[in-house]
Amino acid sequence: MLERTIAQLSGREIEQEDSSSQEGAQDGAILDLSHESANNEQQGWEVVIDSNHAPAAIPASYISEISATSPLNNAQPVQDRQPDMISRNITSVQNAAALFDFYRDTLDQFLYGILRDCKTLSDVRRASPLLTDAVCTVSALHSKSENYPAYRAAFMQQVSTQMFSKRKTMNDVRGLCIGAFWLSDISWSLMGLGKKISLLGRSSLINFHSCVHC
Amino acid sequence: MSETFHDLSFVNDFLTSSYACEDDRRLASQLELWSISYRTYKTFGLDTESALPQTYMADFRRICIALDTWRVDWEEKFASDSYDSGYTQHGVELHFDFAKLYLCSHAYRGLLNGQASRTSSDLGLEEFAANAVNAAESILKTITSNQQIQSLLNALPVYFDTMIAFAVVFLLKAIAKPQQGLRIDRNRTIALLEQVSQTLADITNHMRREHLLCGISQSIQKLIKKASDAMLAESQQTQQPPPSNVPPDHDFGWLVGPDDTPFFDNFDLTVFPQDFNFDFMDVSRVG
Repeated sequence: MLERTIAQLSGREIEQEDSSSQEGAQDGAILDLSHESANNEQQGWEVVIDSNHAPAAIPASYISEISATSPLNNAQPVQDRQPDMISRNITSVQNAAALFDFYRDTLDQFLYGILRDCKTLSDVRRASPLLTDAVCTVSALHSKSENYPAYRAAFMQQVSTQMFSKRKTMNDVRGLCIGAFWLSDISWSLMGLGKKISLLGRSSLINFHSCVHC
Repeated sequence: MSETFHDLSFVNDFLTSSYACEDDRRLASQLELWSISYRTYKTFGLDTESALPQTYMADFRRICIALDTWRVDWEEKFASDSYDSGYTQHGVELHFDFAKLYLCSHAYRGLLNGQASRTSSDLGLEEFAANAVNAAESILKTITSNQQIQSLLNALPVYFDTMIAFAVVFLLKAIAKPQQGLRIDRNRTIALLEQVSQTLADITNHMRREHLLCGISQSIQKLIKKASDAMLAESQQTQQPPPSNVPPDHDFGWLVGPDDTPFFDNFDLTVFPQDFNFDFMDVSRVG
C-alpha cells in the first residue's frame, strides 16, 4: 500500500494534477519531479519524492525548486536571456558573419573544433546568444577589429545576465569555454561559471565534459 | 575534469572507433597531460617557498617518467598528422616543455630564500634543475626559431602566453641565483632572452594592445633590458668579459623582490588585470 502510494506520488499520475494534488501540496508539499519542465523558473522550493532511487540519498536532494508546471508556481516567468549582440545592434550581421568565418577558419581548431555542429553564423545564433557573443568577441580580439571594446562589454553583459539564469545549455557552456580560452582578463571568472553550471542543480544533467566535444 | 581523469578511461577505446576524429585525438592527448600536471600539483602543492624533502624524490622521478612517456606516445601518434600542417607535432613538444618546466621548477624550491639546508646535489635535484632550465630554453628557442608557431601566437590560447612569461622569468631567476652544482651560461641565456624579446615585439606589433601577449612582451622587454644593462655594467667594472658560469656575485639584486622575497612568486599567473601591462619593475627592488 505504501509502495503504491509512493509510486503514485512520483509517477505518471502527476499529469492528472487536480485539486487533490494541490491540496496535498498545501498539507505536506509532496510533489513530483520525475518529469521536469525544461523552462522551470525558480519561484520557491518544494519537497520531492523520486521513486526511482532508494531512500538513502543526499539529504538536500529531496528539496527542489518549484517547477513551472507546479500548482505552487504563481509567478510570471523571468526574462533571463538577452538577445545576442546582433539583435542588440552592437554589430551588423555582415560584421558578425566575417568574425564568425575568422573564428571558424583560424581559431576553432585550437579548441578542438568546439563549434563542430555550427557551420554558419545562423547556426550559432540559433544555438545560443552567449555563444554568438563569445565567438564575435574573441574574433574581434584576434582580427584587430576596432569594435573589440564594445563587443567585449556586450559579451560580459550577456554573461552577467545569465549568471543567475536557471536555463543553461551546452552551447552556453561552449561560449564560456571560448571566452575562457582567449580572454585572459576574465578567463577564471568564465571557467568558474562554467564549472558551476556543470556541478549545481539540474544543469548538471548537461555533463560539462561533453560540452567540449559532442 | 582533470581531477577525475579516471572517469574518462573510455577515451582510448573511443579513439579506436570510427567516430573519433583528429580533434578527439588532440583533446585526448591534452586530457592525459592535464592528469599528469594535476599529479604535480597534488604532490608538490602551491607552497613554492618550502624546501623539498628527500621523500619527494621518488614522486619527482615517477612524474618525469610519465611526462616522457606521454611525449613519446603522442609524438608517434601525430607523426603522420597532416590535419593542420604539422602544428600538432610542435604542439606536443611545446606542451611537454611547459609541463616539464612546471614540474622541474620545483627543484628550486626553498633555495632562493636559503630555506634548504642541504645542497641540491645532496637531494639529487641537480638533474631536475637542469631539466627545468632545458625545458625553459626549449620553449623560448621554439618561439624564436619556429616560424609556424610565431605565426600562430596571435591565435593560441592564453596558456601559451603565460608559459612563455614563466619561462623567461624562470631563466632570469635561475641565472641571478644559480643553484649550487648547476652551471648556466649567463651570456648565452641573456642572448636567448634578448632574441625572445625582439621576436615578441615583432609579433605583437600587429596585435591589439588588449591582447595578453602585448602586455607580456612590453614587460619582458623592460626586464631583459635591465638584465642586459646589469651584465654590461658588471663587465665594465671588471674590465673583462664575465665568465659564463660566474658564482652569484653580481648585481642582479633587482631581480629579488622586497624583503628578499623571490620575485617570481609575485607574478600571479591567475590574475590578469583588464589592461594587462604587468610592470615587473613595480615589484622588484632596484639594486
